[in-house]
Amino acid sequence: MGAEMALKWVKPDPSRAATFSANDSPYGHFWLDQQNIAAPRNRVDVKQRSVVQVAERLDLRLDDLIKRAFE
Amino acid sequence: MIATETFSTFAGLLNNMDQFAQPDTIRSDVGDYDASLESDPALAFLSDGAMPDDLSQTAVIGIIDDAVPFANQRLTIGGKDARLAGIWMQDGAVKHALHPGIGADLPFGTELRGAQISGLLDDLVNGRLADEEAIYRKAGVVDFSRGSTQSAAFFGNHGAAVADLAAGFSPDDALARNFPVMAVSLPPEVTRDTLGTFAPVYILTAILYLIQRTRRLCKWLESKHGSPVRLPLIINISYGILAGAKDGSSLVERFQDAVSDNDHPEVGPIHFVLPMGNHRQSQTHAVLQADGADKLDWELKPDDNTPSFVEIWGPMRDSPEPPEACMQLVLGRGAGDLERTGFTTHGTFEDLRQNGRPAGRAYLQYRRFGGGGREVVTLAMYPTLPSLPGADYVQPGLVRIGAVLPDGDAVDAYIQRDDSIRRFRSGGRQSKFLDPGYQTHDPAGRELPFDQRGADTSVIRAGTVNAFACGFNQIRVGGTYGDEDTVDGQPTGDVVHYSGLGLVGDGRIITGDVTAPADRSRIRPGIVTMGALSGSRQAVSGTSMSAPSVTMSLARILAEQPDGFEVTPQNIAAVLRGGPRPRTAGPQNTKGTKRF
Repeated sequence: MGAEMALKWVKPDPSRAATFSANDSPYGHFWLDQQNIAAPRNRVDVKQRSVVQVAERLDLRLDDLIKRAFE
Repeated sequence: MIATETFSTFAGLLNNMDQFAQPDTIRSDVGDYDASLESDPALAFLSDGAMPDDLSQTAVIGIIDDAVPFANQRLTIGGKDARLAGIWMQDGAVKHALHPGIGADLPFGTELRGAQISGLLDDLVNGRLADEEAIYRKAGVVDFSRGSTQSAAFFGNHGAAVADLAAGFSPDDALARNFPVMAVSLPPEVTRDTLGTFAPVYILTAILYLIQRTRRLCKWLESKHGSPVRLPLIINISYGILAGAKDGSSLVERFQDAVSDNDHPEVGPIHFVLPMGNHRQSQTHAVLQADGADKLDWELKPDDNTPSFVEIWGPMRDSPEPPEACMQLVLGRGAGDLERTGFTTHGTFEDLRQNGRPAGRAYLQYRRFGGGGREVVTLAMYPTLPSLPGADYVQPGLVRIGAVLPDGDAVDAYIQRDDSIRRFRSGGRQSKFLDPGYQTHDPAGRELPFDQRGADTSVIRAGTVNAFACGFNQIRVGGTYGDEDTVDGQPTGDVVHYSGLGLVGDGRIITGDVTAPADRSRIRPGIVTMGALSGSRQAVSGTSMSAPSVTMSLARILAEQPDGFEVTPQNIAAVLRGGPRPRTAGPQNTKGTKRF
């Protein structure tokens, strides 16, 4: 196997990788980074994006549905 | 609490839901649930013709699947009254909602109630709609202008097969009235993405919908009958993935366990039925000593245009705090030295480069569970087929991997599912582990169904169970050959060679809590079920077909024995074998007894 096949671990490049927190799904994070790399102009970082209302809304509805189911 | 955890676990996805869900499915003006609409006969849970005959012998069947064909006659009474009391079409475009108030509390997709579906069936019967397909077009379930996969338009599909086996009755069978159905049609993206990236969020929200709407159904029936109604709910989830902790610690499993383990004030016992999976022979599970010397070859297939993942799970630890010395991953190609990660903190990742270009990534996490926790390294490799010119990719072939722990303990390595489902082509190709000691066939050419005792291999069939189905209280169903598989005229009842195997704590191999047919016989694959449209037929194979058979059986058992049936694998199996039906004086939702 030639040198061109050599694999090497490196610390992540912060300019490419989205923020990752301990409880994030690696699958979701990897997917998100793939999206960012494919379309760098539309780069989205979960820590930087505060105006998207979808997350808060879904969280609220999940919480609400749980309350309705169990209380 | 679960909501908060869900949010944190999937924040990266939910924050960007408009990037992975169809934008027209996201509701911009979510409101509260409007119970007053239930009293409108045109929007009620059930039309008069579909009302249960005897509420003391009624059970609700819940289905979470792809494109449940709610207008199929096998889900109706007489072809004109829908037994679907409610269906949430998670991929439904909000603009297609037939009534703005129905489903207005859901963050995405559209909803139909039973009376609405009965109204559509009435339009069909009276010539106002041309054919059954027109019902789906009018409800917005089929809309080719949207550009997404229109699985509801398929002649046959997974959701139709599962719905038939879990809840299908002849439309003239009076017994069907006592089995109203609640359903959720998952978006096609969930089916296409066999990695399961998005599945937990959609499945969790689907379960919440089924519970909440069944509770409302019970209250609605109470208001009509004047006496308390607490119907049991049996939920079938014929979906699965290959990699995970497989110790019941995932959020999807813990949520189902919590639901099944508790009594609820306004609904009866709730049970979950899942398949064991179809990947026993897929070479996706291995056990390694994490000493850095024990290594394993991972074969990445060419022409795979989706990422490939391996999860390496360390042993369970007593402390909720992660160990100071982190698990490390070693990796390389060919005979050269292996590259070792340099993790110093949990919750971080390192990038892998090949020839200077991105090739993969390894994430290190500490997953807390039951007062302790487990280390896990998730290794993601780029596709071997770049999706665009200039996109990053990794060369196909063998990658040698190993793990390092300070004490050299054994670790489980699971390859994540990555196949490409018929009609939902993701372009994924299932990778696998290779080990010279692993035998696929015996010397006579027969496929080996089980691991060979004493075989010198780290790749094993045990533990290939569906990673969504390892909770304490779920009912897991393995696949068997059906009645056409006979020896001397007697059905063999043999377990199909591909049905996933569980590995319980004491080392026993489990084919499932119960088993049910997944194929007609060794030479006739598939179980014949209804297709999407009334009168059509399809043959579908796999443990996805075994689970709904048990769902139907359990619903009938609980409906017939409202005074108590202890839901244990042994009791269900006894009933399925045609034996006596055990009774208890205790509550119906007794815990399951097996853990994988």
